[in-house]
Amino acid sequence: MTTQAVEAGRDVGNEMAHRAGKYLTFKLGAEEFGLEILKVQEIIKMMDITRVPRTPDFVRGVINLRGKVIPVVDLRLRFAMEAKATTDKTCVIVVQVRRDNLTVTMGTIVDEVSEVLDIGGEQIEPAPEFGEMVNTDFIVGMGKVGKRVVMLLDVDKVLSQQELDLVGKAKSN
Amino acid sequence: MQNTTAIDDELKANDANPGAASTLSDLQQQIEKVAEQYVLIDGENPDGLALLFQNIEALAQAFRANAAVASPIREKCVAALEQAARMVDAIKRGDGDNPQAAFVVVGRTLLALQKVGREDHVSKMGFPEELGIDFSEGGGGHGSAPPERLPSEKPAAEGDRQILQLFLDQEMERLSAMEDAILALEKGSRDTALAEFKRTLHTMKGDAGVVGAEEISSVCHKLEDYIESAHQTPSVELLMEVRDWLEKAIRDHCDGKKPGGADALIGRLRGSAEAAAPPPEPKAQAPEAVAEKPAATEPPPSPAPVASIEIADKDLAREFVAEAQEYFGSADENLLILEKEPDNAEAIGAVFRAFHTMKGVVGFLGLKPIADLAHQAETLLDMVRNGKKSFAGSVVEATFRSLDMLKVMVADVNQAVVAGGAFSTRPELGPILTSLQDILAGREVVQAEKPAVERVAVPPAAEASEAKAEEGGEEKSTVDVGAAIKQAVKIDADRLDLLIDTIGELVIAESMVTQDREIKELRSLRVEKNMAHLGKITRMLQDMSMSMRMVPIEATFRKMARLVRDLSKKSGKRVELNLIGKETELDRAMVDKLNDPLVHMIRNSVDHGIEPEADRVAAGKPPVGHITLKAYHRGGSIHIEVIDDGKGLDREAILAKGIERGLIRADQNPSDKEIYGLIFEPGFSTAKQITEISGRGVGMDVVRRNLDSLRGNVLIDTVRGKGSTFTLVLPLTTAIIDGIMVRVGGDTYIIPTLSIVESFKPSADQISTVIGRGEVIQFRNSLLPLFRLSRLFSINDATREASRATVVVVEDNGKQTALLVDELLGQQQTVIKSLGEAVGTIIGISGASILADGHPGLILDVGGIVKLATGESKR
Repeated sequence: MTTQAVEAGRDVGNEMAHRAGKYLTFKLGAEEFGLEILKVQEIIKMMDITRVPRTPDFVRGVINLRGKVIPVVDLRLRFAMEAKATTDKTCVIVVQVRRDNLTVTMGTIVDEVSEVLDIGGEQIEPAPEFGEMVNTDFIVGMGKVGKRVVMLLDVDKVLSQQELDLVGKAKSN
Repeated sequence: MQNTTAIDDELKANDANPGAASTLSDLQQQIEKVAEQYVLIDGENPDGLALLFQNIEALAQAFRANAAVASPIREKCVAALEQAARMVDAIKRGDGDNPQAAFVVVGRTLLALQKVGREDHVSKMGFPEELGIDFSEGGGGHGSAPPERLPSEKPAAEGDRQILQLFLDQEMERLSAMEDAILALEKGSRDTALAEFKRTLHTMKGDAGVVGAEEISSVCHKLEDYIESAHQTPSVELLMEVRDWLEKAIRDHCDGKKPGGADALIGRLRGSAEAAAPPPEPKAQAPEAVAEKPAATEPPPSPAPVASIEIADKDLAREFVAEAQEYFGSADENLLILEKEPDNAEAIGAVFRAFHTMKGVVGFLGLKPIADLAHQAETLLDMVRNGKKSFAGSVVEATFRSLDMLKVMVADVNQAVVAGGAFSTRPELGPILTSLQDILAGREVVQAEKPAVERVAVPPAAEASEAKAEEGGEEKSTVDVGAAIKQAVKIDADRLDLLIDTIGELVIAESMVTQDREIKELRSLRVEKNMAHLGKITRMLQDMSMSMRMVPIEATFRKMARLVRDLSKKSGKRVELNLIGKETELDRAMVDKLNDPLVHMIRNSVDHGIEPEADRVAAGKPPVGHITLKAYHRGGSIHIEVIDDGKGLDREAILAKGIERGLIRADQNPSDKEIYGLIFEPGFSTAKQITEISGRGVGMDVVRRNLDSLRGNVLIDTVRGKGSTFTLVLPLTTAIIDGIMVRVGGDTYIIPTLSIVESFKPSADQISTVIGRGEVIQFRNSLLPLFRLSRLFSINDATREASRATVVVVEDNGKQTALLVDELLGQQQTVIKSLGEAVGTIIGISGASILADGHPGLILDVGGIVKLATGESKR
């Protein structure tokens, strides 16, 4: 994996080669995102969520996933997009996030799940920089699939404890 | 069996076309296959041997035909293979006097070839030394070379992982068979058990030879000798010890390490064998073994200089640190017994065993300084055990000091493992070793005289212990071990937790089904009956899962016994400790957290509670102070009392200090509970001077923090001049909580029943506002701050009118607070789930639990809520 990455780094024309692979794509409004398929544990339909007080807005609460209590994050709110009422297409994608040396299971609420795409290295471009305006740290690349653009997410960063804490603090101030 | 057939087929296919192995990788594959087959076939099955013979021949052919291998190597390989084939043939025909050893040599040849084959490139392809040696040895001896004479080989870890894995699995089975046999032996079925044991041992010796684990096979060999020579039943203790060593050694070997401690063990085995069978063994058989000399005459090792040792096997070290605590516990307890009854042979034996076992374990880790110390201490105790020294004076102090030093060193080992550094010895070790040696050599004049005097003073006991020693240590230790071994299984803690969690899930699932409205509507008698049955079984499972987590509090109490002794020495006060209810069980997860609070409370009792002797006498109390540790179950919780007959808490001094520190207002009229609660404040101390033991005001804060994390409480009961009783009230387990479900708006929360005092519907005139924002409520003639959960948790749809809501009075560390919720929903026993890793800590919430409807409910942390509320009100 590392050697692959190093080789990919040397080859300027194909620097995103190590990002190539299968992605689960989903939609938030008109925008399409991709999650590395290996991070995805399962997709479940929307269920009742127990609200957890004193957490950031985008933490919608916790659910009981077969006896395990896992937190659920609303990706719309996480990306500061407008909230949207639940539809019958709303899904929870259960992902496994690396945090320090632990693997943490979390749910992410998305508008709808699209498909699993095989995206090659040549189809991926680095995330554009928008400066202060838009934080694109957690976008690892932009996949071009036909005419569509899929934002490939680094889910570890999207759901990192640091982010949760930061946003939580920002809110309480 | 299926595997074998598949491999056979493939091998036959190769057979049919020997030229197929023309490239190097093919050749490698073929080697691997033959090696695999070797492992799988039974060395006594003629068909299997025939097939092996064919395949080795074919392999030799393939080597011969393969130009990719450099020719000198090729020739050697071919020669080795042909030799191996001849040996297999010999075994098959029943020639040669030691077929098993011959089979082993074949295995080693194949192993060596595998190494040849594993080299990545042809150019690198070397020829391992051992192949040549194997070959010549095996050839010269015509398959008669006993495995223990085989030359030393590097641990075969890099050789063949697969073979090692197989070896490991197989040997673990054999070890458990051995254990069974030992236990059966103990129960008295001597002949069958011994035969079974010998069979297993013999097979293991062979297996060990195959993988080149020379130490293991030689220990097996010596053990065989020992059993043969032992005319009576062999010592179960010794057998167990060897078994344990074998297990460690096998694991070590599979991890690519050289197992340590073989020589010492062989020495002891030989010693025992000679003792059991007067005609000595022919020495020629074990040139590598160096017999351990009798402990007493061993030249004392020079005092160890400060050394730094790298700990290679972190896992083993961690295991050792954990195990060592057990030994310390037992040594502590028995040393205390010994102090009172210096002739208690059982206690001496127990302490001796603790040191001895520890010495064995550290040997594997290569921690020589620890082993040295343990050894010296053991030697000393051995002399005590044999009546050569009596347990008094400097012997006692030396033993205690050694034990303390061992504890320090084990803590250092732990530190080294955790921090990843090296273990280095302390400079204090030298003097301790020297003093031990002095005592051992009888260099101390006082010491030399004292035993004689004491012996005269207590002749019957001394004689009795001597007589016991003469009866033969073996028999005695057998009895001891018999008493100690319980039918217990060691289970991986993670698996146990998983099982308990799963049972918790089952309980929830069961209640979801039985309370399902549709099922209830069926009104079928049969369904109800079955449901009741299911419910009963579920309850039984739940009880069992609870009991599996439970351990007696004894170990914790034991440590306290030692603590009291030390504290009493340090403070110069005589204190006696009584332990009541040490068999009381509690959740093993709680044991660790209970330790610190108890230590602090006992320190306080000795330092502040118990008065100096003169004061006690003046107050008409017995000169010796008494501390009682008492544990018992009451209701759904466990109570632990620390009772002292000291001077009690000084209410006025505490109150004055509290006012001085602004914790309490002078014009307030606080209750006793509140006043005594002050001692839990961090930094709170009324001590006029800080002693070595206590007085900094940290201890009780630790007590409270630890209890908070256990969801426990502490009650103080004290009478001036008579003494104090601190009662820790803890839930039985940290895994299951008894809670009241409350509704606030659309949310459901669980409040731990332990922290609820009372709940009631308030009338409007009971509640008054303070400066427009804060609210207080009258409750039993006192005013309690009233906090609305809806406000703390920003719940919008909750009842605003207090008179239509419910007040729950909760208590945390003696401080009562009122919470306003919409209504109570009922009571539930729930399994606690952590929110921890994913959400992080949320003040006021201690965890989650699955409610009967399948949704998670959040468990309130009352202490946190009070903090939250008061913190906010301050702002």
